[in-house]
Amino acid sequence: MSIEANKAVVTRYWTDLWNKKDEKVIDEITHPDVKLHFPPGQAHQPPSFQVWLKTALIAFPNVHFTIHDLVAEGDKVVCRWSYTATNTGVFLGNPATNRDVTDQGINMFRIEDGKIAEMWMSGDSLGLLQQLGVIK
Amino acid sequence: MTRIEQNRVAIRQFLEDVWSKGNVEIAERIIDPNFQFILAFAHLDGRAAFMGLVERNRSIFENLTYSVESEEDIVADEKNGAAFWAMKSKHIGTWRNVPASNKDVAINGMTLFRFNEEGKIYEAKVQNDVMSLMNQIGGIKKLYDF
Repeated sequence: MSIEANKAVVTRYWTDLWNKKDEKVIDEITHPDVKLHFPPGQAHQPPSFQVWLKTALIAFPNVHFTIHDLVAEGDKVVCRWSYTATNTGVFLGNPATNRDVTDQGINMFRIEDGKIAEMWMSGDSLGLLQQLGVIK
Repeated sequence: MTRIEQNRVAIRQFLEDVWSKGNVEIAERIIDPNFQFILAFAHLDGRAAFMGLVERNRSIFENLTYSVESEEDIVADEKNGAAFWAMKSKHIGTWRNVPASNKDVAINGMTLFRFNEEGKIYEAKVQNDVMSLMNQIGGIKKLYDF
């Protein structure tokens, strides 16, 4: 796959999976045994994209991502992103705060045969949890 | 060396020579004077301000070491680059109002770099696991369990 095709898969990850919230896209753009790597400090560490999307639709149903940068080389794509959302449902066992939040991060993707095979995430959990008032 | 190869070398030097060794000579060679260093919680304007941060953090975090485990953890094109890195240290001074914990700490993070026409780094945007670092040094109080 070309670098441009790999970037297109990662773009679909944000626009079609997360912004359109289309669960079918998961099978289209990710391998069934996709490996997700979260930093130990990440607040929410879902076991799969399916669980992740379900949780997001409960806790932050209006979540909207913006892609700021895409850098690609070989089978890797790195994306810098941010999102805005409103916490209108249960998140991490806590009731809705109805607060508007923003988060930002950088993810690295490994693409194999046109689908996401591995993803390393780095987001701002500290900032998110401070905005939700869960930590001080 | 191609521009992409040069960018990959500069990224490794930024982490392993500038951050881990405080090497000013290499910093001046690979970093633009108007360099912007941007984190979720801070923005350093200019190479001199950034080098001040490097010096301060190297005194707060003993044997501060940033490393890139594999060439696979660096991604670059002609104008941009990124790295997945590991940081190790011991927290021996006050950082973000948290007094010295004397704890060994280790976190991972990613940085996205921009290069100018001369191949110097003019911007770095960092996303690190500051939540984990705060947990390791006892810097946050959770109001709920999660």
